[in-house]
Amino acid sequence: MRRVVITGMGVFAASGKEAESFFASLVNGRSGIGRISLFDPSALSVQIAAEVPAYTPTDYFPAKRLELLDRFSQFALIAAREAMQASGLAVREEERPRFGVVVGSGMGGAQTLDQGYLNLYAKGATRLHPFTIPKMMHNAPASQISMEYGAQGPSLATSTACSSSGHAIGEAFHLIKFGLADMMLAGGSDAPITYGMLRSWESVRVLASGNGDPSRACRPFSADREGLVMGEGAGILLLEELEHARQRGATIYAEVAGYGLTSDASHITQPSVDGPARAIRMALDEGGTNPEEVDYINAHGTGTKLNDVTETQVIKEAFKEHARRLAISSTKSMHGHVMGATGAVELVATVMALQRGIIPPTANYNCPDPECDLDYVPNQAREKPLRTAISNSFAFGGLNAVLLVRRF
Amino acid sequence: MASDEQESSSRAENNFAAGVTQLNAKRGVEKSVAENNIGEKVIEIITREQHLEPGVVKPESSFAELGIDSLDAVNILFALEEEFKIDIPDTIAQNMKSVSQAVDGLTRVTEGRDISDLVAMAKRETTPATS
Repeated sequence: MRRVVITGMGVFAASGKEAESFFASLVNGRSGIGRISLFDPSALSVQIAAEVPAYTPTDYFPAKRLELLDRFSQFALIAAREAMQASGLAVREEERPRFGVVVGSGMGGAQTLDQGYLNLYAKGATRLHPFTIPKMMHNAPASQISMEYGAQGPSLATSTACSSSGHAIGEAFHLIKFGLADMMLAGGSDAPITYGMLRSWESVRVLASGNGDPSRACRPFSADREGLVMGEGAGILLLEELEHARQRGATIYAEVAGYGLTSDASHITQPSVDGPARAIRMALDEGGTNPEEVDYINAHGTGTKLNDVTETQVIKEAFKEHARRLAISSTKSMHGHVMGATGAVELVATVMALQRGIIPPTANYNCPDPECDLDYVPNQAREKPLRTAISNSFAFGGLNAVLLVRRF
Repeated sequence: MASDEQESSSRAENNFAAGVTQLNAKRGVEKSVAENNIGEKVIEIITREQHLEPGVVKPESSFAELGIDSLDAVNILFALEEEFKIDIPDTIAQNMKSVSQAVDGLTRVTEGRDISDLVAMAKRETTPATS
């Protein structure tokens, strides 16, 4: 059986613009959530988000390149760059067809789309810029990354809302495991902080407004939780077939051991218990792992009333008594809900937790909720040797992705 | 037959182009002056959009020489349309593959602003005399 390991990781998000500072920020309980600065949010009822701080595109790309890159493609390329540099991978010409890319996004080129609509409907433009399509298409990051690194293997873009990058990494894992590739860059990217997106989300009434204190707005599992906080960013991991990694003396971060994916077939926004629990079991089964071997769950943990109580029930359903012994935390409490990138961003956090034996906390855990009565590693990071962890993504529309990773 | 359609469509284009030239002549446009101004603008816009050094784009440059691919070309067309506040129809755009062709195409469109008569002329030329 072919085994798949992680040999490089990149992250670009509110909590950090590369993996080390990102993880340090999480472990120190620092919030990346603040007042929206990308546009004037004064007219909105929710004025906060988890933006990438102090980002100047020309620090990372020449001006001409930027003309074809929406913000979400920029983030993806930056994270891919970090992953490739960390991995030390030099792909030989003849290996290119064995090197693919799966990068997901929930919202695609939101900034490009927003600008296009503004021009068309508000300014009466009769033509839109010819780069609108190549910039906004959901597959732009996957294509741009494949072009950047000469990846000629199996590549695609996944779009399953909040599970987009969980699915992307799982599909990449399977492509290697089942022999179609030896190297895959996988993850997700989203840059959804636009006026149009905020107005759309506002009406769903699941956003936390923060009441003037943005850093304390996102409170997963806490009784006083008020909803999710939108974030932007990208997470990209390099997955590699184990022997291929060994032969080139790669540093191995962790093993990807299982991938569960299921559909709730229930409600277009409300999660079920059965769908996510089956996804967890599926990931465990593939990894030949008993539930009792799981030490840590990086939860979907959005901070909405509904997700957090449902996810608690899911964990109990999947783990029975062991649910009370394992540690759970939601890093969305600090980096926000990075939408299509969140699965990948959280997997980076999970892998670093495994490597270092430090569990990042659930920030802003103010008061226990009797319906959420498990161990959520509240407020303080915890040192604990970890063997096996899972990362949950449960999307609107009931599409679930669970990844099982093991210390190598 | 496909080749008949191609023949008649290229005949239509030639008629269209001829019609524009006739209209230019009728309107007594000082061709060389108008073309010089358009020429300068075209060179300026290509230089800007392609991020080239000043002086690289010459009146005799072809797009291929300048490393302009088809995506770059539609970007330049967009910039020209915005600058001159015109629509460049595909039939003319397809023939704009060098600086001089771009100037030529733009001249035809900017100076033949009311081109409905030309389109009708082109259509009449392509309608078969017998069915």
